[in-house]
Amino acid sequence: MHRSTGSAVPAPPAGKLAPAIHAIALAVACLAMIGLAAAPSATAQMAPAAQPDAKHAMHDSTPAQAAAAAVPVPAIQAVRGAVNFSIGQAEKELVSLAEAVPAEKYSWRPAEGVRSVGEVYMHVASANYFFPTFWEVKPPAGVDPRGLEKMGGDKAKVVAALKDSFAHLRHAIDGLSDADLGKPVSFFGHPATVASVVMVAVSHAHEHLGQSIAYARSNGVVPPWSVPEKPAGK
Amino acid sequence: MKRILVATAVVACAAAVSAAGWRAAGALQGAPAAGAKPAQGAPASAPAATIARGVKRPPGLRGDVQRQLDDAEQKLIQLASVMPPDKFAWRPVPGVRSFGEICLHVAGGNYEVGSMWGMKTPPTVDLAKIEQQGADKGNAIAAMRVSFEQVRQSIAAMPDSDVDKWITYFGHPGTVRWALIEVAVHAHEHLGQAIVYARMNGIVPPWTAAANSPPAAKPAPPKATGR
Repeated sequence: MHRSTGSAVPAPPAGKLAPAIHAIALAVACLAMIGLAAAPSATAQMAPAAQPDAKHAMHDSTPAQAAAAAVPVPAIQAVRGAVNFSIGQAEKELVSLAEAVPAEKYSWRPAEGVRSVGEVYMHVASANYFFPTFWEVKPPAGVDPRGLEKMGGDKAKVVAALKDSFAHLRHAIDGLSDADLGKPVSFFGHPATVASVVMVAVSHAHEHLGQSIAYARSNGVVPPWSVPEKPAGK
Repeated sequence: MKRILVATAVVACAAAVSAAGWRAAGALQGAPAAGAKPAQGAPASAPAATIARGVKRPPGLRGDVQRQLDDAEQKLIQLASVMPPDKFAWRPVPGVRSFGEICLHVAGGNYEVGSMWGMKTPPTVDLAKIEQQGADKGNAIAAMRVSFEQVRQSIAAMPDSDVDKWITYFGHPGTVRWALIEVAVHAHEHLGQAIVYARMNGIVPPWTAAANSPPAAKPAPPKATGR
């Protein structure tokens, strides 16, 4: 499936996740062979969420990792790995898009009364701090999620906040146990579980990724991952 | 609590993304497109005008994924229903998908990701060509309905033990769990995109319009009966 929202030309059947997974599989294979504990930086860039630290790089397997290791994946690790990989995909693209959009476009909005470019990014950041509060993970000291959208016009602050918030969300998910996932919570007045909220957090990031891609395209910015590679000159 | 304070900053959108998914089944308000044609792959008798709600949400991850799918489906259908037919060919810049093509891309994605765990794509659906009829509002809406319904039925029929089965995920080893998450986030990503298209055409999403509309006047209290 071609998942690139703003793709000008339908991509081949292999999805955009494929290169990342492939990179991880290769990295894991390399790690297994040479016995390194740390992932190569290139792998981390492809899928930062998949390998939050050395401990989980070894145990919180992605499917490709687990396949390489040929060991059963406990439920919690499977959940955590799958969710954090999807969040990592949204993070990678949102951050690269935020970096690619010119600073003067951060106040652009498609219509009055709708969030601007920068406000959307900050809204995602704010939500990334908000969702973990359902399993009692508070925002870091000094971070006021309520005030983030007001700073949507400052590109440098937006990019930094976006990165920090995704790291916070992934770390918060990383700390969940099996028991935590099944805990009941009240979500906007409705009975839910922590696992349900985690799933909302993933969907939320992706929904605003799609919104941000449309904003970028409308301003002539091609998402960096969709920019066609220039043919190598001879 | 901190949570309550923080909620004010994100409640508008987070609630939109999530709370709708908790609403009772059958909350869909989007009217079917007049003269809607059967979607690609839709049997002649397909209930294209309604979202079937005969399938209860399963427990666990399958239920959480289904809730997100229901939310995206309802909003996409509502949005497409209020989008004027002549806007289905609209695109923000040349070279990107039109509004109608987004709708059909979501439908195609539902089939393609579903096929990873064994869901059968209807034989009349050609995934390579499914986006070609994006300018046809009736077709776009019907195709989304049919595809979401098929995914719903497939997820409901899936044993929990299948969630951790190994599959080919975009050409690489993965589990059904990954595909389940992907089908939900894919729909949400394109919902976000479609909302922008609507806004740029002066269309306020129906659920936002409803939330912003003033509350109905309260009925006058009954008059005192004499004492």
